Amino acid sequence: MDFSRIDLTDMQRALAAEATAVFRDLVTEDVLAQERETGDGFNETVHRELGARGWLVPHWPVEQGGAGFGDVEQRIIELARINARTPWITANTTRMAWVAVEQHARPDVRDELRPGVADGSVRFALGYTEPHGGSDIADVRTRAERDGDGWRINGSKVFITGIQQATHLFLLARTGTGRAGLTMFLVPLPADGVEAYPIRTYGDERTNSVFLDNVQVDDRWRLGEVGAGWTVLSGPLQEEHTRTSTSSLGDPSIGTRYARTLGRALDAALLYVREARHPDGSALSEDPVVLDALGRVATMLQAAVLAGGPSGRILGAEMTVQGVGLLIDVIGLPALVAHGQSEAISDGVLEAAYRQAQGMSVYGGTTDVFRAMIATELGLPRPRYPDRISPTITA
Amino acid sequence: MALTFDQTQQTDFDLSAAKLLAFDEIRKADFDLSDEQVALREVARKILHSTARARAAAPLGHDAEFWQNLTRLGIPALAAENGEDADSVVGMAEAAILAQEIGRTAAPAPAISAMVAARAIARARTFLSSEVYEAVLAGESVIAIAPVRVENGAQSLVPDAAIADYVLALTDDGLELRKLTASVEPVPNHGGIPLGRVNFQDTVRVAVLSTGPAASNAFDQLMVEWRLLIGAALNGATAAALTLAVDFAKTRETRGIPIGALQGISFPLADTEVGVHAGDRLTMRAAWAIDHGEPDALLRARVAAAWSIEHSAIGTSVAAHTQGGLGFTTEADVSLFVLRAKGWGLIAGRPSDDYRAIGSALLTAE
Repeated sequence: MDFSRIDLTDMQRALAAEATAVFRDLVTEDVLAQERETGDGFNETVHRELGARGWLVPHWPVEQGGAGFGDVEQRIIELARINARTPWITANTTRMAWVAVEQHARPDVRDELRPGVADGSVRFALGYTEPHGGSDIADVRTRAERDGDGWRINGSKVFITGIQQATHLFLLARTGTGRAGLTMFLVPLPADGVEAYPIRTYGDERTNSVFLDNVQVDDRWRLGEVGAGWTVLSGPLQEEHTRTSTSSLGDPSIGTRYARTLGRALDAALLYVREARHPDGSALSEDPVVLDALGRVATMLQAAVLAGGPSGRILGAEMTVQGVGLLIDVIGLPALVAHGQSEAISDGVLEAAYRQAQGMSVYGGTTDVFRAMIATELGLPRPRYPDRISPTITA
Repeated sequence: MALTFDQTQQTDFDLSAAKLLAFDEIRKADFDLSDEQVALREVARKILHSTARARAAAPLGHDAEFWQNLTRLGIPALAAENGEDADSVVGMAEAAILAQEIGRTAAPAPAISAMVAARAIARARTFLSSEVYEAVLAGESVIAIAPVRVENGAQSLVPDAAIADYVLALTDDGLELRKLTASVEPVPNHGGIPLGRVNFQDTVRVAVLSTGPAASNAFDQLMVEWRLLIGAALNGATAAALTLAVDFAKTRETRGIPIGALQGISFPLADTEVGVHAGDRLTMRAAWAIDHGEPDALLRARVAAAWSIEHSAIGTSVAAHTQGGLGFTTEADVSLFVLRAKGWGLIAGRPSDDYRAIGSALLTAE
């Protein structure tokens, strides 16, 4: 076992200071306000500035538009980015889809797109989910039919986050029957026949429903073989389910990206509890109910950030939902005051965290999909119901 | 120098988000056991391979011959080796590995308290004669630990006292090692441990390990380490209970299908696995912190103990429930784990006290 702290070199400390300053200057109050208002998960100025520095893909070689950073430097940039609350959804979906593009796109398409991924001018939105089914990705009904040298695509998708700022839609469509009848495409945007309608979540995000009406796509934009869509998709899915970072010093838990919200809520609660008093004048910091809640939440947070594999995914989401709720319960009404009000605790972190937490158990596959994975790993049989629902009657 | 950049939210403890995000806290996260640790676990599993001894040793909960065999594994000495600093003691990771295996078979041996006591005594080794110290490390004597401060030579319930030669206790005079001079009657309990009622006036002082505030601190430390190892044992017990439940769910049928095919059965078992896995990670992370003298080590140990003890009670209950009425019988092996999950969990203090201590520590961090 090894959990030792990495001692930063002078150059790494200098990078840390530089990164702090860069992100602080980029992610301004206006950027944060705009993010609260639009829920875009993206800011063009921030994205392009980072791209210009090679910091969108800092692990790529400098010649390819990255920064050529090693594990420690990548982690420094990552932490500075997270701490500044940089809107990052589209950067993430681009990174995930790129895994498939790099492996399965035609070489000329790949080479054409690569510089733009690095400089931020190329951005991908993920098009898997459909209105009738989310977790069952293979049950795709959006159809792609041959049309001359290309394809004609019809169907609908939902929860397509970031399409409003994407240059391409990473789209899974049906070209045949069964799981072997799926094909992946990269649809350049804007495209005739693609229409997006915003959906707002109460976690401050914006996502979209998307309708595809006779959308024409050239065959050069097909990723991988016809019928190999599931294989093409596996790369990005695997990436999402197992890796938390390009750096080997990334979070051990895939739930930490959610649990950080719980961590921020806990910090806000600690600051508040240190000073606050009950109506009777007694200190919250001496209230055993409050102390117990703080200890429980700290424990839940640690479990979520240390657990590996599917356990990390489940705990990251569910400990955040439960933990933020517990903090709010022991603090009381002030915890529900939103950003911008004078009574807001740490600028409304707690109330925002509670609203944001609810979605965490469904992003990228619900936590129950991960429970099913654990059940399989334990050796339990595949889920099914009995053929007969009435009790057996023996003669 | 800490390079936290949000000065309004800086706290010193690793447990808060600010620390997660601070640059001086970029850490490795390698949970892999060393080859020696893997070998230790394999040997322990070979020796501790069956729950049969747990049943045979009931109701007292002690198998003297088995305990002698266990001491040949190196218990408790390998939990209390000299560290690099003069007063540091290492071996918590090894102790946690052994404790988990003890729990996995509900082994009737005072191994955990032996390891905790040996570590406490090793930290104060200048206060003991070498004969007593060597005897302690070799496990030749059984040491019980009094889980509450003893006032004025009063009586108290002490785990392992019914089979112990010595008791480690925090008294008005400090942290003392005392010899039991009268036999102690076992008090039946559902944790299956040799609990006894000790009248401290029937004990004789062997050594005072520390006095005053140092004694209180030493006692707090050993209590937290005790709970950490109990948590480790209960992670093992829950893992064993889970295996029993999974095996049952694979073969037991209802209406033509194995019950494990129903998500109402499999999902609670998946949740039990989540609890065990997280408990194990929290425990090993805390054990490493203790062995490396990290400032937040005892806080991490409280977190690990609180989680493991709480989740093992839930998990063993789920495992028993999965087996329906059969899981409620005394002959079901899961019964060994269900009752011990609650019984062992309370030996070293109330689990909920750890939550309040963690909360207090976070509030008073600079």
